[in-house]
Amino acid sequence: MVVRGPISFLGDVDPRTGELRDGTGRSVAGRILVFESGRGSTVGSYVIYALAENGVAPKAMIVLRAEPIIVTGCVLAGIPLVDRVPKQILETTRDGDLIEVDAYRGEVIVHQG
Amino acid sequence: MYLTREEERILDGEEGEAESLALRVLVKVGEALGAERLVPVVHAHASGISYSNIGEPGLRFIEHLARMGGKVRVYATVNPIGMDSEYWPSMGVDSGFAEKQLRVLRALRDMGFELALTCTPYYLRRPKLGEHLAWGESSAVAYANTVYGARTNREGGPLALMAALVGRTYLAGMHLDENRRPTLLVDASWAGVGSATEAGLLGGLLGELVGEGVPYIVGVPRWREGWVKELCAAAGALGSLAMCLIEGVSPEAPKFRAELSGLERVQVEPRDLESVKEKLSGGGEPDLLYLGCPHASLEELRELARLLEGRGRVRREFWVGVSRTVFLEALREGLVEKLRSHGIKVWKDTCPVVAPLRGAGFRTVGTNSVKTAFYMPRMHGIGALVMGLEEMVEYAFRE
Repeated sequence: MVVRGPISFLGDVDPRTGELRDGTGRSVAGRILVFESGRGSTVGSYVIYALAENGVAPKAMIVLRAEPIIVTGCVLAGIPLVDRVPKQILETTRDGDLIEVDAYRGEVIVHQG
Repeated sequence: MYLTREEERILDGEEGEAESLALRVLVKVGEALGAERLVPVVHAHASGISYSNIGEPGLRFIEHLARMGGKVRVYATVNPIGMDSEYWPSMGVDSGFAEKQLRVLRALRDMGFELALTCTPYYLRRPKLGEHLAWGESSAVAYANTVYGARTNREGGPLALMAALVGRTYLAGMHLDENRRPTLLVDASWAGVGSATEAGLLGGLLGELVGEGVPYIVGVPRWREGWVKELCAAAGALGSLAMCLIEGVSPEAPKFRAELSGLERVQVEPRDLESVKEKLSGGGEPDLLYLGCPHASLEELRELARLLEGRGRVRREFWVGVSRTVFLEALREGLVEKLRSHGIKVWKDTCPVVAPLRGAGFRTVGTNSVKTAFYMPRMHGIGALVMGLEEMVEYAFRE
């Protein structure tokens, strides 16, 4: 699932369902979430943790820039996180594409279509 | 990451189970962000303690740390909660919620946190130039870096909590000189910033424009404290700004004056601020007016009292949010009574962003806070209108 801008997990994501509050009705639950970066509230880490506790967390996150809020949330929730990927990923990847992630090696493979 | 012998001991659990967990998380987060060692902090401020925002998982997490015997090692304060800790029944908060919220507070108190319950920890202890802090609460982070030249990252809520337990955080980001240099020159000479609301709109614009850089702001001849507060809050909400350098305000600004000509330059026009305002404003006439995001200072309460001089009772819900410290001062000054006599509700410990307002029946909040306007639709499905304080007062008396 691709979100082309930054995400404030507090506010932009429903911690109980994983639904994005962007009017599309999409949910991050069980998806590999590709987005620009975090923004907004420092409470976002708790929202990421709550997503995991509620069983609706993304499988992995891929961001252009990691920042403390997202990193803390992913560490506590045990969600693999890869940062510093090329910017084009936001343009070329579509919802539903198959993505392979190896967060230990920082590898991301996108299978388009 | 390099750890001192004491830190090794903490990691090995010799200082307690909670401290060991805290250090493990700090090291992991720090390594991901490129830190090579930890740094002692003098003040930790934990955000994310409103039950409305952290829910059952957050409550369990905080209680778990308390049960493991976690104790703060440095001065440590916490953010607002989802209700006024004293007057919550008259807020319409139900007792089930209150019970959960009070459990969060008990766990924090047991760990030694001072229950400041405010997003303005700088009114309690003024940070000093160059001090290292571990603060959550995006608005306070930006304020500490910008106004005091203290050093803190935008720590996630749980990380600030763990930093309090070990008295340290990872040395990266805003703790390092190289990340506190200006990256963009913002000329606001023609933006016409003349109120807290307009400063907030400028902050919102910068949040969206700058990403993670440090804007150097020139061209506003006179800054008032409340303006900088709104700017920082908006920049931290709409973006991820941790710091601005403001000419005439920031202690670190003068040393970069000679380098400004080499920076990319942005000129802000009134229409740029107007477009931020339009984007955030949606909904009909406000049925709730709110002052106090971030929590209002004594000066802001006095200003509101002045605007109400000679007028009767407000015709719409009008809330003001303050810290309990400011509440007590305002009480002594007779300000609380004065505002209440006009029908205004003064809440402490909480604010509309962290209170359970969904379903409270409000349709549109009118506020001078860009941050509040950003979160209202997202958090509570409530519309927002950004307006100046004078305009809020006018609305309050409208039929």
